[in-house]
Amino acid sequence: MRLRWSPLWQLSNEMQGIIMIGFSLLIFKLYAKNMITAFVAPKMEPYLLISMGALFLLGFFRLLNSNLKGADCDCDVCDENVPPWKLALNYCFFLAPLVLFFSINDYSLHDEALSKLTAHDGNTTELANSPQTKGEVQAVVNDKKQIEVGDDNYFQVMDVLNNKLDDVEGASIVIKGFIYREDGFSENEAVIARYVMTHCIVDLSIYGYMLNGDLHAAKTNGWYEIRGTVIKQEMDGQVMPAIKVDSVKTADPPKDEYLYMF
Amino acid sequence: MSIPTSIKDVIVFALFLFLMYLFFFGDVSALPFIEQLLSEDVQSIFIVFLAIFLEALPFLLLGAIASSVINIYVSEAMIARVIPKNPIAAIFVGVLVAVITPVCECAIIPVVRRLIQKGVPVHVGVVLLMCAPILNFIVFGSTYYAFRLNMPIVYGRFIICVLAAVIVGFIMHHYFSKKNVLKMHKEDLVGNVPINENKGDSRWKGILHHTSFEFFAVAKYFIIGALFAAIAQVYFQDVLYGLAGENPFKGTAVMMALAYILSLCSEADAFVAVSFAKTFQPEAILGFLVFGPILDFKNTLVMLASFRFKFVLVFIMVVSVIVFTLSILAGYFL
Repeated sequence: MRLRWSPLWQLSNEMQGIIMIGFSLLIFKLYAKNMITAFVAPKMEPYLLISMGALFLLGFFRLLNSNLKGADCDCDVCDENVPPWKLALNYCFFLAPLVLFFSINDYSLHDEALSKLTAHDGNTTELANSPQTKGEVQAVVNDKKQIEVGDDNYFQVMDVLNNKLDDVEGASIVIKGFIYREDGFSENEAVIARYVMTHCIVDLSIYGYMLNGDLHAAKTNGWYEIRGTVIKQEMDGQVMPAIKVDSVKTADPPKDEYLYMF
Repeated sequence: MSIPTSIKDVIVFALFLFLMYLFFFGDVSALPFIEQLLSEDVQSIFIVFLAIFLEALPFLLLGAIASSVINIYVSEAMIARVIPKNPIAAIFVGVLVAVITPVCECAIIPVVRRLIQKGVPVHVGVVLLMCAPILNFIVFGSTYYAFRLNMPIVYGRFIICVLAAVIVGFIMHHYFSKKNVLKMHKEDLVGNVPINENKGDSRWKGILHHTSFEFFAVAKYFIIGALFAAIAQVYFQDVLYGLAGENPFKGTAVMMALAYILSLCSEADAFVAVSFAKTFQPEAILGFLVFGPILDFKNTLVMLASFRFKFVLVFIMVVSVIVFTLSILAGYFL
């Protein structure tokens, strides 16, 4: 026979179930829209998919077994009775972000927020010593003695430019990125930069090379394709790769706004 | 307390339909007023918030599952056998256990709480809490890649972490060894109920059931902490950055505060730290690398959910002082 009255902890269990299903649906939606990499690096994706499955199953388990008091888990805290207002407040913490996450459409950060997030990267160009790929000079310079920098060889090229600068000095280079200017940069100073993510957008950093040449046409935060030559430049007593600009061409922003370290 | 079954069913069903509606139409047409409510800054806060949440979600789940498995399968007798009676030896066993525990700073807290409940001494729990997020192969790998041109930082991070854990372990042994540090839960009041006895028909169901409970207990505080961290990320980061100076004391303090606010995962923070390497002295970088994984905004709230307020407060103060001192001392050797 069906009980006319149910204890509050049963409602609480069922809400937990629904919220867990909600979170798994959120991950699924982000995955289906191909948006996961806008938040976290691709290496996290399998973990998130596993969590999605786990949350979905757990949620249904919780929903379907909501009537078992202290079900099998021996401790009686699991199914505590709390006053209704506390229950409502409790689950607001979970429901409010869920509603927000579902209703935000545009997941890309605007420029100002991005620059705030990466505000700590004092000197962009000197960051360039952390990528894990070991670049070989022959691998990045093609037959025409030109370096074409793309998403897949970005770190390789960076490694070569930093560690074997003598070998590639004078080679021509084609690179796409956005124009980044720090406070205090003049119109003719700029960095051709990309955002690089290691784990999630919290740890975004800016990687790039200093540009040398006529840059009046290049607007800050605009996307450009730069053609030029690799040169040495001294900055704060350190020799660094830079690019002597031959031509600046506007370009479309790439599909993947960020580069991923691993 | 109870509620009419029909009303309960209506609430649950309505909630379910609402979420389904959001799932299909949430971003298209559903709640345009929400989007209008959010200024660009607020929206970026939520995006950062969602990123922190997604990043930690698998680890939170892992922690909840590990804690439930310990609850059901690890008995007090087993722990008593593994942990030596001698407090000093116990601390070193704690460090060794930390090396083989592959969980990060959010996931470790429910695990430690469960272990203390099962009879692990408090100071060993503290050692585990401090060492587990740093002493593992993933963190060693990422620190190595980020600082391979500056190896002293890599070694320094792990040495300082172990030293700090041992010192804090001793202090905690002195002050908290006889006290109950866990937050009162109902099960503590029930008395000596044998927690490990099987009540239901299946251990698997027990684990699943307990995992959900544990997940929600931790996730609530995590969500609040992540939200604060996101706000701090968007608003306060450049303020702190402006405080940087040549003074090693000030620099270390600033970097530790930054580590606390940023709430990065221990696997990723080395890459952020390397971007500070030119602006700050090595001792400041070490402070950042050691302090961040042990304590940060989001895991403080998770800790408050599990431990008593007084214990958390003392823990935070002691860890801050010890890590600060050790980082400054390390600065003389670098």
